[in-house]
Amino acid sequence: MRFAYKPSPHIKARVSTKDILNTVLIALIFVTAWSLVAQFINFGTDYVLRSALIIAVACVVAILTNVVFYLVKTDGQKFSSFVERLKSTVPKTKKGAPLITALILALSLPVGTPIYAVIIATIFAEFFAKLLFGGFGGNVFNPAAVGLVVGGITFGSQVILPDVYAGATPLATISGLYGWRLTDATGLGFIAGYGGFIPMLFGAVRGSIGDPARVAVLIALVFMIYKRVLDWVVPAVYIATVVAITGLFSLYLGVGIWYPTLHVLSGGLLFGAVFMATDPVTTPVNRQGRILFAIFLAMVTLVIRFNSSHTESMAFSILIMNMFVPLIDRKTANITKESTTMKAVGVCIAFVIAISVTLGLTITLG
Amino acid sequence: MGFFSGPNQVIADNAKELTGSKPIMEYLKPKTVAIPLKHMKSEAFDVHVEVGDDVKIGTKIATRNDNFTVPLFSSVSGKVIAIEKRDHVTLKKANHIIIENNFLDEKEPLFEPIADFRTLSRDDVVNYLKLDGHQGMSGDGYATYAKFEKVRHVRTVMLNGVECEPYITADEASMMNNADLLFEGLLLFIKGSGAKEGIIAIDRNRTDLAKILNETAKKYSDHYTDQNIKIKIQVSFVPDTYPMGWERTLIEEVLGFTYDINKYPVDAGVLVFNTTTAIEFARTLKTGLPLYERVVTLSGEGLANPQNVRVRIGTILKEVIDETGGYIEGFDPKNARLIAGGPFMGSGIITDELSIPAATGAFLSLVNTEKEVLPCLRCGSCIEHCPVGIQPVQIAAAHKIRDLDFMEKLGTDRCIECGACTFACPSFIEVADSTSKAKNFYLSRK
Ligand code: SF4
Ligand code: SF4
Repeated sequence: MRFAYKPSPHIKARVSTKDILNTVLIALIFVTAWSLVAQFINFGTDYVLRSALIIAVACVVAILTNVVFYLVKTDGQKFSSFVERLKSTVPKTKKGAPLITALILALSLPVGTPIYAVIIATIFAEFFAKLLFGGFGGNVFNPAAVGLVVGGITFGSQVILPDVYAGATPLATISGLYGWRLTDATGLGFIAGYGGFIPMLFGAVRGSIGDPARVAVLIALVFMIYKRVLDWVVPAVYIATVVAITGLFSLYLGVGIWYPTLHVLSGGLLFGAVFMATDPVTTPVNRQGRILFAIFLAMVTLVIRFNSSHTESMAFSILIMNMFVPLIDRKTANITKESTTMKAVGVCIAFVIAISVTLGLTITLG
Repeated sequence: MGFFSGPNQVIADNAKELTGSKPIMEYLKPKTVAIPLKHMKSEAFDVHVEVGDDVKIGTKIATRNDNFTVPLFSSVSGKVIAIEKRDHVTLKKANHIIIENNFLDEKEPLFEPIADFRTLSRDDVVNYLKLDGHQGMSGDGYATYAKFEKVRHVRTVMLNGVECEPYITADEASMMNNADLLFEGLLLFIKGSGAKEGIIAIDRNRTDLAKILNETAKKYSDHYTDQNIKIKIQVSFVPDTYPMGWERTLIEEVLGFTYDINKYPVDAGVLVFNTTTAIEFARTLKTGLPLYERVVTLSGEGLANPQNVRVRIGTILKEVIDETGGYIEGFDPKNARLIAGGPFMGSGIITDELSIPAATGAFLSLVNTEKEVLPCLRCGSCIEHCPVGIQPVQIAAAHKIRDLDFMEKLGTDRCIECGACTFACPSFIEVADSTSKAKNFYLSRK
């Protein structure tokens, strides 16, 4: 009997990229649902409907962008009818995971974002950041972050700056009024104004659509770590670095432990750490690289947060760090098993650099 | 295993139950055998017979004549009927000596059987190995005597009976039936290398085998080296992960140390052999007859009746498959694979009409193995599971743009082609194949 030649190995694992993406999608849907319920309880029906509309628009536009793209780009395939042609776009669209991008984007947008801005931001995320790069897997920049930043720059203050629909976000208030140079009195007073950390954690915060779901984000993180769909060191190192830098800064300012906590809970930091910084496609490919990425991501986030008028530094810093991914991959290319000590030393050096740069810049410029 | 490197191994469904529990079947009366004039990559042989010559079991019919000396022997008694090119497990055609069996099983011993191995000197052991052409019997086929040539200070001889490849139970079956020969072979290798310690490593889930080996080990606790040092004999149990049987992984697991990536186990004082090689060497010294039979595992979901079979070296695979009951009903080779060796490292072969060489311990027929390839999501799973700790996904990318400097930095030439990366890839990408192509490209340009 004759057989066709096939290269070895001849067996494959059962986990599939499809399962991984589905798990992330489930985690995102969970966060979305939690957020909508929290918004309903805290702010009422109008607010929730507005959020739901933005989410729905983002999802529909993301899918349509893919369908249209693949209707045009058929790679020379011939179809007997338009329906055939339309059908052929379905598997291709599915492969690109548009819903994941759409949900990450929508959850990061302020509730007051105008619908046309949502549409444009989504098209940018799907078309320019993903499809033009050859689709899922080929993209260099995090699509959702591209959507956020491009949407924000093009359509002005509504997207990134204080949220007109729902009132100023805590982040905008702090940045605008104090430039993050808080005293115990202003800081604690500010937090008390929101009812303390617990409500901040559980939902009574106006801001991005996903903001009221910080607890859900943490639960989703645990779920995804348990399902092994992301590398836990990324959010862990990222948040640890943020805490270390802001902790040292709090010593400089002479304020209490609430200060780093406020930083971690502010803006899209937690959400971005879990859902954007962990996107495997746009982050380094090995452990050491990912740790370096997380450390420098924290540095960039805080440098922007401390020193610019942009309150939403997460998406920017993700895009900036995305550019360094090829370099990090190259610098961490050695045999992972043979050089543990060197790798640990490298990580420590990076950590010290990140702290020095952030604090040095902030203190000298401020 | 490490924080930065990941687990460096994979866990696969071992599928050993298909053959492990069944008794060994025999297929010892092939009409013809075909002895390939090919050893590892070499086809340089002196042929000592002509068409029409009469041969017996053990008649030396050819000898490899380049940088290794490897004799080949007839595995049946009968007549040489042809020397011709045929399909070979390496996929390329090679010359084979075809011998027609006269079913008389006349034997031509190579030397007088040795009654007491204790009379042998260190050099005797190596000389006998060279004389009888023993080779690694679970895949690589490396000439056993050659392993002793690099020896300086060997502390430990390790017999590798791990069989970390799924489906294969041939070594296990041989050990179950030849526990005494196994320990005698171990002592022979210890003598040949000047070691003071012998370890037999097996999968810790093989409980029946463990019992037998632990029992037998007691009988061999009273042996001494030439310097009159008591030899330590030990059976070690290792986890059922892949590639646990790779020397580097095995030594790290059993002996607890790693050694320079540029070096071989022997540089770290350890010589590693396959357990079946040890058994067959001891048998040869006892009988004076070179290797002429072996146990092969025929398994996989594509076969009606997976089975370990004792066959003559050079038997045609198809005959043995038919003897066990053939392929499953409705078998379609279009969505199946035939593999010489294990599912990880075995090579995909294109026909079942080839002869079974001494070095191959299994032939598998797997069905429905194809999966739709998805885009690489750069998840790093291939990196984490690579036993060497190199970065397959990056190597493939560097190869695509022909970046030799980067390929060097990535340690491209270190790939052992174990297949763990492809197995671990959730996008079902043939990363191992890309990496081995990259390695060949890199080595050809360096
Ligand atoms: S090749 Fe496969 S395992 Fe490796 S990074 Fe890409 S998707 Fe992951
Ligand atoms: S085939 Fe090569 S690259 Fe892939 S896991 Fe094995 S050694 Fe590593």
